[in-house]
Amino acid sequence: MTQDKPEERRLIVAGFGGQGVLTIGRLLCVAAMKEGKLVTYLPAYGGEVRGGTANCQVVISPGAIFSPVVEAADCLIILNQLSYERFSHRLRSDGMMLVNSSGVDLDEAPPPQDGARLVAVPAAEKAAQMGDLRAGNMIMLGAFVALSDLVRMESCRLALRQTFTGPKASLLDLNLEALQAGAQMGA
Amino acid sequence: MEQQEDTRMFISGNEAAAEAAICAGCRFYAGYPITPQNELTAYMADQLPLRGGTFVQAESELAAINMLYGASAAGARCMTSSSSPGISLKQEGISYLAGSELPAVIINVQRGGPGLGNIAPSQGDYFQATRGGGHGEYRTIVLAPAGVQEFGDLTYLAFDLADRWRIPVLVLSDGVIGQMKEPVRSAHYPPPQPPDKPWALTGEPGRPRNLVKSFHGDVDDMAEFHLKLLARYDAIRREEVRYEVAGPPDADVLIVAYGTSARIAREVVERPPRDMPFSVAIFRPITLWPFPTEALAEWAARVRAALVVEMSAGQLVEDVRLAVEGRCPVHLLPVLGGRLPEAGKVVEKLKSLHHTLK
Repeated sequence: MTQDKPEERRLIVAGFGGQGVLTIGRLLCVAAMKEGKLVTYLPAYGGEVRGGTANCQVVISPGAIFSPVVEAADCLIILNQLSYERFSHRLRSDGMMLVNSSGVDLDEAPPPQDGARLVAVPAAEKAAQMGDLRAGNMIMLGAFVALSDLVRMESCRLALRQTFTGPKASLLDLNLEALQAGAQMGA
Repeated sequence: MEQQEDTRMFISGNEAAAEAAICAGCRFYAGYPITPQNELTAYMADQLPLRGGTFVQAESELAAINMLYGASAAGARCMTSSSSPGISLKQEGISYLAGSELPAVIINVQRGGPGLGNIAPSQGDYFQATRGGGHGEYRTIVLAPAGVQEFGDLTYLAFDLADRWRIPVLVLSDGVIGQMKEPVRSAHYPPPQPPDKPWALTGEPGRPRNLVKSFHGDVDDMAEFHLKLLARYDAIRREEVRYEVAGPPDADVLIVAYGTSARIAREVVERPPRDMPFSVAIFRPITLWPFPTEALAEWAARVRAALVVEMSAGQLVEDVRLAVEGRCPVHLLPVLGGRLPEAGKVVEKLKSLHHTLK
């Protein structure tokens, strides 16, 4: 592998199409840009809109980013079982993995590498309690922001405000609430 | 917040190319949907009509490229885009554009092939792009971006080059550069200044009759036309070569790669592993035609070996060998099927070359 670059963070967000994994990656990027950082966001998905696999590789750095490919991840955000099986081995031994325990059976899943940190959040369960299962991704994002020092919560809120506009404006409050609930679960 | 307002847009390469085209004065776009370039067509559908242009979702790729023939003959700055299978369908039209000396911009966001292949990124269309692609004796300028900003910048440039040389210009991207998002600036593009086109079919009364055609029934006419094109191609080779080099000027090994492959491989040059036993630089052709033959030959005379990294089975390597002409050994790392030439793979290949270095 190539040398580590301090301050650069490489992460993978993965789940199935419809869980909002690409939105998590995009919002993290927009939030990081608000703090003056450079970002790359590389999405990958199947032909299906819903139900197929979806993931994105995100790099956030104060300086120029060369490879946008995340070969060894500092962080993983995992929303379903299949993604856990596919990506957990890409986590560095000093990395952190945030798992949606509503979608991953952690008793069945192999543990991450020695030294790596695993945090489980029942995101879908919490979203259902809040009245909209679709907000599960914002709970994951809120928890991730609270757990990591990658971007500030305020930048994330700004990114959300920019994203949920026009016909989506009615969804803003719910998503902000879910972000906050996630942050409390991650704190 | 301590930072000033961030004016950068967070958009995909496909969207950056579309925005740059509009900034460059593109006023006609025709296209037909295909992954992984649909964001480009969608952006044009959304924006071009609002900004003084015409968007057509054509009934086929063939219809789209032939609409460009008409738009270009009428003097408009025009563009189409597609991905590999769709670009194959456009080849007849590109040949006719070249044969009629018509400027046009064609974007290929490469995916897997042959045939329908897959929707994953690829660089498998290098031969098609750099050898003309369609029938007959012609060239197109080929520009290869390695990032989202550059996809926009080279698309903007493509319109100027197309008009300057009266030639179709191909922007050769791929599924990574097309779909990746990065912060982008577009405000820096100057207002377009297309040259006069006295040859265009404007319908203007009173001026001498213009004729746009690719047919030269007479042998001498055809030969003369070829000589005229060849002289133009020579001038393009002298004036339009573009490339970028990064890494130590006294490097032992030179990576040669373009587009996504170059973007990823540069990671190894900027942050070589501590146990890398020799130094590495990277040479990135930005124009694939005209190929930076002379500059690469100079580098080849100084290094101990070259390593070509490409998301194809051995296409770029042919141009590299033609340029290097035996000045140093040329090795190949081909990455196929939609896989990416990860930095780890490049490092492994480089290390495997150590015992061969003289």
